[in-house]
Formats: sequence, structure tokens, C-alpha cells
Amino acid sequence: MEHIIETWFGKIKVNFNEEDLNKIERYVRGKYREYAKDYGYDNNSYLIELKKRCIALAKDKIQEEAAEKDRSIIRAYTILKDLRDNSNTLYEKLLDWYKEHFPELKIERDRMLDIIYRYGGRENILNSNENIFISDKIKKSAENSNGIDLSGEEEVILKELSKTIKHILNLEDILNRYIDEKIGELTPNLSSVFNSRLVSQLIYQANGLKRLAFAPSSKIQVLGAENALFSHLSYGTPPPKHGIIFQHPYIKNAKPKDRGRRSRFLASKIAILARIDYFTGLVKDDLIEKIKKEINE
Amino acid sequence: MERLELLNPKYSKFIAFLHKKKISLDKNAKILYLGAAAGTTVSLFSKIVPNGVIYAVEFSWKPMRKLISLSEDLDNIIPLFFDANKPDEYKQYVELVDLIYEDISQKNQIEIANKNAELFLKDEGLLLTMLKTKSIDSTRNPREVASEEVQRLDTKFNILDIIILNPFYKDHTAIMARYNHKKE
Ligand SMILES: C[S@@+](CC[C@H](N)C(=O)[O-])C[C@H]1O[C@@H](n2cnc3c(N)ncnc32)[C@H](O)[C@@H]1O
Repeated sequence: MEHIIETWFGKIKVNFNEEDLNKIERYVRGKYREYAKDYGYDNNSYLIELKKRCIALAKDKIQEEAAEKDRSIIRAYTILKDLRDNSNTLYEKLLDWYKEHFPELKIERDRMLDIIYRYGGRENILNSNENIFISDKIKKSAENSNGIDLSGEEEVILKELSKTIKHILNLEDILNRYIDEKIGELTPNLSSVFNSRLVSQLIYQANGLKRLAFAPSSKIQVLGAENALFSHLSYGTPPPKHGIIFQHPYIKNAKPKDRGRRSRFLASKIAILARIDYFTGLVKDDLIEKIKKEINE
Repeated sequence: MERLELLNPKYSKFIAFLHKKKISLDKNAKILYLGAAAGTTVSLFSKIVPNGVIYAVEFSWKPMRKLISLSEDLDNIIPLFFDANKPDEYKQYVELVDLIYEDISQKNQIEIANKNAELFLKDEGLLLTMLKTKSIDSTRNPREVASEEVQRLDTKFNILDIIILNPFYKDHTAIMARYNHKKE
């Protein structure tokens, strides 16, 4: 009986008085190198060619998986962006309202949320005996506060609102950690030089690592400054010198006259690192150290 | 191989294994390595079988990148980015081999070894599998887990030895078995 067996070097026709294809395949597998001779491979070229194939195959599959990672990063990043916008405006609104009631309370955000969520109005703060949360100073200012009273209903609203904001912030933390981890895997070089917030913004604005890696550095320089670029093209306003990368202290803290040069420099380094990350993914420690040194000078 | 035994047994489970048991491998041996990671142990094998070949299977892309660049330097390593659980997907690339070395820390590790042996292990070939007993059942005694796992091995295997890798690797047990494919 004739059978066709697929191998990496081609389809082999074999004749066996055997039904079990697995057995036949096993037999042939023991003689791949012999069969491969008919295809022009000797012992040496067999391995060389096979390796080429397997490496190409692996690289393709890695890039597919990387594209999948891109998408999850971008998804997580857009959610994170919305949450941040929301938590910021909601927190402002919460403070606005709560200040009417207790204008003297000035503490940082997380504690503020905790206190409003746990106690609500000044009354409860005064009556609390949990010294870890409520210092004497806070108690004193609650006692002497000039704020107006809260109704029971208002207190419920503000407590629930702080709880909601706390939930949002917690989800932001989770997303941040998720992005950090994925970004670190996807861009070991870029994220060794830049923080993952900047890298994820770049990937988001470029719409994926592939596009970032393919982009010229002149484009990377203005990523995220699309509005300014648009008005430059349509109305002839001055061209934008820098987009997202402007956040980086290397540019932000530079003298105005140096900023153009520095953002060109930074953008070109981002381009180089993004290409290494996209095409090989291997960590280039020397290059990373060199760039770090240059931008921290 | 004498010199390998002098290496730090914590460097690789295979070195730890050699500290407890002598085995010899032909210079021309062909090896199927399941769970190659970034290739620490693969590169040892690469030296042991200079005229042979190591088919190195790994399904996680991060170590795979390193394995690819390692294989660009060492002639006898073929990197295979596949799931060892699906040997059908790589069967057209791999020949029959003299040794299957498995180190994947999976619950169904023995089942995976059986499947791969059926396709790739020569008659009289050797299986060496590093069982992470803790990842199979963390609540029970490693020896007990290992002896239970051994029973899952295909009956075509002749079990040669069960070696606990303490103190070098806690919770790891090596199983060594010889294949008899003619037995049906
Ligand atoms: C303990 S590490 C191996 C270390 C390596 N043998 C060494 O000594 O250098 C286990 C590796 O097996 C890989 N692995 C786990 N399950 C696998 C599977 N089903 N197919 C392929 N690789 C797998 C993991 O990604 C991981 O890299």
C-alpha cells in the first residue's frame, strides 16, 4: 500500500504492507536523514536547513503572540486611561462637596478617601476612638470646624462615592501591574530605559509595537501630539517638537533651546530600542546602559 | 561527562542527577528535550553530544527567544516553539531519538512523556524525566507522589531507577526508564 508522509523537507511516498499509519510514520522517522538525501540534504546540510526552518517558524509564532500581547496592553491601557480620568474628576467633586462640611481637613488623597468612607461626617470622626486613623489634630479641627452640617442622605452619598473611587483606584493598581508585567515581557529593552507608563502610551499611540518599531523617529517624536500636528498641517501653526516623550525629564527639565535637539535624540533612541524589542526581543544590556547614561547626564 | 559532575548541582537538575547516578551518552546521540526554557541544560547536552543533535521544545515565547539565539551559536541545537502536549504538531521536524529528557513541571508530565516516546523514542531509547512532585500534589509526600506517577508510565517502559534529587532540588524526583517499543 502506498502512503504519503509529510516531513519538513517534503512529502515522501512509501510502500508498506502495513495498515497502521503511526507505525509507518515511526519507521520513516527513524530514517529521515536517509530519505532527505533524495532531496539533496547530506548529514550536515540536513541540520543547517532544518534549523533555519525551525528558527523562522519560531520567530513567526513569537511575533504572532507578541501581537496578541500588544492588543491586551492597549486594551488595558485604554481602560486605565478612562478610569484615571474618572477617578480624578470624581475625587475633585467629592472634595468640593465634603469641603463645605469640613473645610479644615487637608490630607492626601488615599487617607481622605479612607476617612470619608469610614466615618462620613465630622460627628463620627469626633466620636471615633481609632487613633491610627484619626489623629488628635484631626479631632481638634473637627471640633472647631466652620463647615455646615451634612444630612444623613448626603453622608450616605459621600461615603458611597469615596467607596466607589477607592474601587476605581484599586482597579487602576491592578491594571498598572498587569501593564507593567506585559510591557516588561514585550519590550525588555524599551522598558529598561523608560517607565512602563511612557512605553505603554507610545505603544497605544502608535497602535502597537510593530508600528512603533516601523515608524521613523520623526514620527515617534510627535506621537501623542496629533492635535498640534493637525493644526500645523492645516493652519500653518509651528510644528510640534514633541509629544508623549515631552513628559520625560530629559526633555521637560531641559532649557527651552535644547528641547528640540533632545527630543530628536530621545525619539531616535526609542526607535532603536523598539526595533530590537520587536525584531529580536533580546536584552541588549550594553546599549541600555549607554542610553541611560546619555539621558541621565 | 566526568567534568560535568564537578559543576554545581544547583545549576541544573541534570547535574544534580549526575551527582547521584552515572549515565553515559554517545557523542552522536540524538536527544529530544521537552521544556528547554532558555537552554541552560540544553547547552550542557550540546557539549555532551557534539556530533548529535538536541531537539529543544519550549512553548513559552520569552525563554524561546533566548533559546533561538543560543541555537544560532551552537550547531547541534534545533529550537522548536511548540507545546510538548501536542507532539503531532512537530513530528515532521523530529527524528527518532536516543534520549527523551523532560523537565516541564506539569501535572500531566508522564502522559506527555508517553505521547512523545510513542512518536520519537527509539526502541531501547532512554527516558529521563524530572518530576516536580510538588506541582503534582503539594499535600503529599514526594516519594509517594513519584511512585504513583511512575505507574502512569507506558508499560513499554522498563523502569530503571527513581532518584530523589534532594538536597540539590527540593521536591524533584528523576525517573529513568528504557523503552521497548517492540513489546506490544
Ligand atoms: C523548569 S523549566 C525547565 C528548565 C530547563 N530544563 C533547564 O534546566 O535549563 C520548565 C520549562 O518547561 C516549559 N514548559 C512547560 N510546559 C510545557 C509544554 N507543555 N510544552 C513545552 N514547554 C513547556 C516552561 O515554559 C518552562 O520554560
